[in-house]
Amino acid sequence: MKRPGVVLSLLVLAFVVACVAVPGLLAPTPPDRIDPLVMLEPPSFAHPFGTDQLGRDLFSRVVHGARMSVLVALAAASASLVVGALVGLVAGMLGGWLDALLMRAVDVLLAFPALLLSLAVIGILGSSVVNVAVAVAVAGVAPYCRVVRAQVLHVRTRPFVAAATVSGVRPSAVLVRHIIPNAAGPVLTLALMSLGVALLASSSLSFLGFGPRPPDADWGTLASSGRDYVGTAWWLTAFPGLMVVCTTLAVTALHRAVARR
Amino acid sequence: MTGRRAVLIAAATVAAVGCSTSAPDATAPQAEPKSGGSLTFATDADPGCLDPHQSPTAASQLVTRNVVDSLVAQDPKTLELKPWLAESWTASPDATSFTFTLRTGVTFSDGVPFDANAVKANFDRIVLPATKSLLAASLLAGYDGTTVDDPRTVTVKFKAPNASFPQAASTAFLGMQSPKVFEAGPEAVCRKPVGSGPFVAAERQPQASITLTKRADYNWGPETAKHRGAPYLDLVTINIVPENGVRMGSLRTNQVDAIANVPPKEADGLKGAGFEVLAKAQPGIAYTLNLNAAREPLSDVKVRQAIAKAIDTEAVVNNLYQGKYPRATSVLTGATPGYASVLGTSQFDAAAAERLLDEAGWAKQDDGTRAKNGKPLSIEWTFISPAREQRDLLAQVVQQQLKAVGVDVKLVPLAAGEVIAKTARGELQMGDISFVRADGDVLRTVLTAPRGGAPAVVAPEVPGLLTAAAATVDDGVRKENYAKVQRSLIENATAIPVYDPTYLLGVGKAVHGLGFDPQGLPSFHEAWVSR
Repeated sequence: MKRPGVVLSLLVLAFVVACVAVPGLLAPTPPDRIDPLVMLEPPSFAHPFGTDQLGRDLFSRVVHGARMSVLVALAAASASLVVGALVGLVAGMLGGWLDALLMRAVDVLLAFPALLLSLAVIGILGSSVVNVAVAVAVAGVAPYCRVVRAQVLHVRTRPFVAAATVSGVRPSAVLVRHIIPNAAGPVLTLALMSLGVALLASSSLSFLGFGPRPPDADWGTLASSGRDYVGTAWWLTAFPGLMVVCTTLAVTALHRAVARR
Repeated sequence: MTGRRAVLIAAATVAAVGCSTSAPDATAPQAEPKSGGSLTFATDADPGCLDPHQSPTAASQLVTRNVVDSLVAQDPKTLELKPWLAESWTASPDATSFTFTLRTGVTFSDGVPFDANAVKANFDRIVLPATKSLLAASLLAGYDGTTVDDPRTVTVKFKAPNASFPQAASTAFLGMQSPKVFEAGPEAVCRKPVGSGPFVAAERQPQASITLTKRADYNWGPETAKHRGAPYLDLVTINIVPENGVRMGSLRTNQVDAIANVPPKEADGLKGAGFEVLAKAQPGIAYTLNLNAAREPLSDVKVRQAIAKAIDTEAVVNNLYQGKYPRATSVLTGATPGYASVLGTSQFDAAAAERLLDEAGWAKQDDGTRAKNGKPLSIEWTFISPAREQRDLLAQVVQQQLKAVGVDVKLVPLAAGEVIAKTARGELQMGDISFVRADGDVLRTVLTAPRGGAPAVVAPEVPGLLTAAAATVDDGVRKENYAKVQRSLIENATAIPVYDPTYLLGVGKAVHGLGFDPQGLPSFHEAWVSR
């Protein structure tokens, strides 16, 4: 086993994917079942992650919360990818004043810290799960624009593109057949990393209270609702927080492994 | 409006405070109060506007009650009214005109003397639309002007009877401020109110802290106070610490001397560690869930009654608040004049709830939910966020209890302003409210003016009963009318009382004499520190 880090990451991600796909199988206890007899119990065999203020099983809540957390991050990362790639392609292919205009707009986006930008978007759109995804996506667009544009400019100067162009291939065909496939590699690597960033950002926004409405909860809202009990019931914040950290680390480790190849 | 907006008037100063724990006097029975020193207090919410004429919040009252004095003081134990800035007063038999004889020698902290003209300036200003009063103006409903009879005599007139006006005048909302500060406009008063109280509002850092400094020449404390002269403390710093955990930790590590709103779960632990936890049951509207009978599907009384019967308030109170907050037995709390026990025993009966819903035509589906003509039985509960007293958790418990009988509740946490706006538009289906004021007249305040979370529809006889109660000085008639209104609200199931709000104050070992003022909030006037 040459790369234990990658294997570990894959194991973590497999668990997370299982949480998203079949939460009921992993945690049969309903996540919103209130049991006053076991309020704020520390982790035990019956409740591996302990219980919350209402006696709900935290393990079950974390497992069921995975779907919301991961899907929001996935949606945000994909939206960033699509929008960023389009802007980058247009800027790289057309060049000229449009390129300059788009890149200056990207510069403006990059000038704001990502979380601040997300908060501004939420402030304008109002708070809901969809808006959290939109806010995270907006904050993640800029790097894609830059990377895609750079790749396009780089690939365009390659001899095979010049050859295709002079032999009469239509520009759209050059774009689809030659430029996009050759520019995709680094972009997809970036996508992996930005998935981790999106998860972290959406969890932060949920923690701040912009996430799903009770009793639904993602990892960010779970960690946030345990905030008042940090001194007496550490598990309420620790386990949801750990899930965010482990998933982000796993995705990032995977990204590094892919990027190194 | 829910909770924090509260006219905290009530019962228990230093002596009456021992309702939860050892009497506070036990710590310093013989010790002579010591002058000097400072006290640091941690509260949970930024007061926002500090003008009592504008702001309705209890958070604001915590500060302003120490800065402004009132014409009248309410006795904490008997709830009787005693002289303060007014030496005496008389009411006309029809309760439309009140004449106050004022105390002399009182000055505001900016040097302006307190006299009849100042009283007129204050009341005239409260009802002025430009003041944007959110509560005080409603206490002066029907105001017809104030006449200055001579420098120490004023007559306040109303178009309609307002028998509870002297009690309203004992609240900080109708407190006296220097007429000079009104010239600077409402925003300036919000930042720095100027009154004749024992403390002066000094420095303020928004969302961080407020400093009160001693008024050394103060000697016109209310007749209800043991100590009527200048306060013992030179300086009171009120820190704003919203997180319960941080506030508790600050007290335990002696970084602050006392804290507001101890979480009920932590009260016993704090007592075990040698701190005092003072409890004060608040008078006024109990924490109540309200169903808007003007909106489908709640227009059906059977659906409302089913919801009322499906909620196990006993379990809510015991599990969430460890019994530290008593289960509410009426829309008014037990500590309110005019209270009538309507729900001696809990009305929880899940089987009856299911039966009522069946009768109303909401048939149970295979998945446990209910529907009628293809429409699912679903209601939206809008509440203020961030919630206090774990009301967000309470909402989730109630949501589960209603799910058990097939009622789907959607929880919609919104900022206070949005909840108020939504109520005003009549869009609220289900809301919640608690409101503090030591007079049954609070029912009129909540039910006749649009308030965030209050019931929008009441039985046709209710407004008449409330108006009649306000028009008489006969306590028997008032009590009877208020009892009828309370019963009507429960019978119509537009209101579901849950618990009586109780203020839990955590106090460190070096602090003495800190108790609840007649308004039910921590009072610093008689507090002192030994260190």
